[in-house]
Amino acid sequence: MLTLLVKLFQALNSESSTRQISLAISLGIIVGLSPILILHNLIILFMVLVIRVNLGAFILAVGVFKGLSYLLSPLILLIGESLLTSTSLYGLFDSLYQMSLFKLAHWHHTYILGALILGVILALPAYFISRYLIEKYRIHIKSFIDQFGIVKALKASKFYRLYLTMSGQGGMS
Amino acid sequence: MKRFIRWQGFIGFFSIIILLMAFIFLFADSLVKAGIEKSGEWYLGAEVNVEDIELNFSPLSLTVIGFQATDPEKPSHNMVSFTEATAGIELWQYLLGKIHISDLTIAQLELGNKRQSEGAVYFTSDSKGNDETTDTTMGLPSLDTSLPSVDDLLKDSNLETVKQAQLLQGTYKSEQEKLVAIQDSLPSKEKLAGYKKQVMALTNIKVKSLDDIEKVTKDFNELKKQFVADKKIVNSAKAQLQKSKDVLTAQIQRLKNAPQADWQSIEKKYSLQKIDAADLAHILFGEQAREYLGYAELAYEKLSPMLTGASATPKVDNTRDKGKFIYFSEQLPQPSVLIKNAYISVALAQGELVIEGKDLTHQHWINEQQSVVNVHSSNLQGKGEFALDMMFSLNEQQVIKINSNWQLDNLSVADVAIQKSSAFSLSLDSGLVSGKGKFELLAQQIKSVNDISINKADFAGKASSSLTKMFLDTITSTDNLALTISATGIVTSPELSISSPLDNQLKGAVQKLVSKKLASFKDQVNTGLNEKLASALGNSKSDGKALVNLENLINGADGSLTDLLNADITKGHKKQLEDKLKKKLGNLFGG
Repeated sequence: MLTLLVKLFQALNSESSTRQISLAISLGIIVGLSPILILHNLIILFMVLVIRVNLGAFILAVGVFKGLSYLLSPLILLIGESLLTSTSLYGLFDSLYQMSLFKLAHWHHTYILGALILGVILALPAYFISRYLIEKYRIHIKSFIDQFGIVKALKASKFYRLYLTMSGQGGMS
Repeated sequence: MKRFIRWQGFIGFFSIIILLMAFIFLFADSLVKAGIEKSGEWYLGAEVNVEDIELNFSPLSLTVIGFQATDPEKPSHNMVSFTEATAGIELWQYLLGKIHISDLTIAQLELGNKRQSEGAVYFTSDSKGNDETTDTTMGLPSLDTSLPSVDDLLKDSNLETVKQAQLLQGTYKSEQEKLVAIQDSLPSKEKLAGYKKQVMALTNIKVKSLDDIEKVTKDFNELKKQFVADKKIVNSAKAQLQKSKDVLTAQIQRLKNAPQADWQSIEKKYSLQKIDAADLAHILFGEQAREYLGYAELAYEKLSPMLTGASATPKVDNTRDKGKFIYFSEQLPQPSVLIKNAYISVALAQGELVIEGKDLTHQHWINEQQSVVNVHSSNLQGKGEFALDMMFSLNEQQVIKINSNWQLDNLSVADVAIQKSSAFSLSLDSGLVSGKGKFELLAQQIKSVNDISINKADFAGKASSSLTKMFLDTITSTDNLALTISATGIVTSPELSISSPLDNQLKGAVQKLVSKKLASFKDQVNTGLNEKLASALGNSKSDGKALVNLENLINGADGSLTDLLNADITKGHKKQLEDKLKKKLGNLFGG
């Protein structure tokens, strides 16, 4: 838990661009909502590792949305089932089904398709919202918070030392 | 490019993949083992043990070694166990979301074998097995105890003979009251004698002139008016008497018929007719046949939900806790679960059974192939041979269709309890059972015909009544017994019919015994009933005498009044006047 918080602060205060953090959160939402060992998650993981996005934010988003996925599972199932059993979309899915990749990705499974669709739907606004919030944080909130005595005390704490240690190691940009 | 891409990410990704694969390679066995044990325990509610797991990746196959599932109802025993099971899984189909097992082999499958140590039980099902022993001779015609006492029967106030006798008495009483009232209004003998005297007086009057005759005639006519009034009363009495006679005659006839009706009722009430027509083979062997049929029903009840419940709607299958696969059109449609070949060796206490399966699935409408199951054994109870060929399929509406044939040869059996009760017990001490049969199942309707023969049969038993002793004697003297068992109707509660040549043999013997006993019983009952009839008719005879007296009285009065009405009293008077006139005319003309 402590490590996760450190990663959050590290990401927010790092030199990573807001785009990199927001994209990491968006991709983390998609991965977090779906079962981990799924083809599209492996592709996203590949993208996250290869494209310069903030890994700390990604891991954090995955953790948070993995937890939320249990609460959202009825909605996920509803989306997946209504799409896959919709008569108007039958032709589309039938033609997609003829592709091995579609079946390999298990997108003909109600939960997996539902999670992907919900993840994508949430990822887009999450990208812009998180970007906006991080910008605001960096400009106003960080300097505002730094003024508090408690923050100063916190900076003298073990937690902050841990944070500094991890930051000093780098590699999370 | 470097601004967006971190090339070390490739290394990171492949490192993760390699780590993941290494993890699977190293821990998959343990994970699968834990998965089988935990899911088995969750499903069964009792301890499930797997000795070892072997997972091969090329080709993908899973081997389960030393599987034991504790029977939650009897933790010292396993519900099912096997020494080794291997399933060759088609990787590509698995990755596409389907489970296709090319070869499934289960070795030394055992049911209900003893565990080395008692298994833990986590929860038990509420349903309890109905293993209570029932008195299987309920349907056996126990003639000695079924016949009621003759005295008790004759004391029964509901007997038709008693009822009709009482009715006759009541009817006679009410009719008698009507007739007594009429009798009182009838002209008395004295009155009739008075009428006669008056008529005689009018007849004996000496007439001298026509005026005298006219006066006599007038007086007689006055008298006749009374005769007519009385005649009217007599006629009414006659009509009432006839009506009462008709009512009483019908009542007496009903009373005469009552003993016959009583006997028929007694026959029906005590099922005396059924003794002759008893389905003896069914009574004797029905319970045993039902027990074996029960196994089939149980198997159907356990297997049916697995087959039909798995897919409630077409194209939708593989229901999981979280979602399900939806299948669309395919060039070569394949079921979501398919076992192409299965080979299971079952170790029973009676011998070894080999079960071979082909194209086992629950979605036959997709690949349009029936599942085939062959069961065979050549060492059942020693030299017994058994073979069963079965084909089954489900259509899109989840209707199961099964066609099956079986054959059994020289199965040695010993100590098979056929009937167990205090009054009658029968067991097959030894014998060789052979048979063949077939069954069809379509939309829960079963149709099965099975011929079974027991050769070199050695029956034994105990009997307490004369009938059961006779049964026992007949059966124990039989060396070869043939039975035809048919089951039809709904699979969960089929109608069982069992017939045997032994039926006729037993029926003949039963009829002899029964007819003798029944004839004596019938005589006693009918004698008692006839006595009741005679007594009731005897009473009616004395009452009948009174009726006859009344009839005589009415007829006498009627006859007298008719005579009086028809009396020609002026005839004599006219003769007198004629004679007188002739005499006068003779004197006048010199006579």
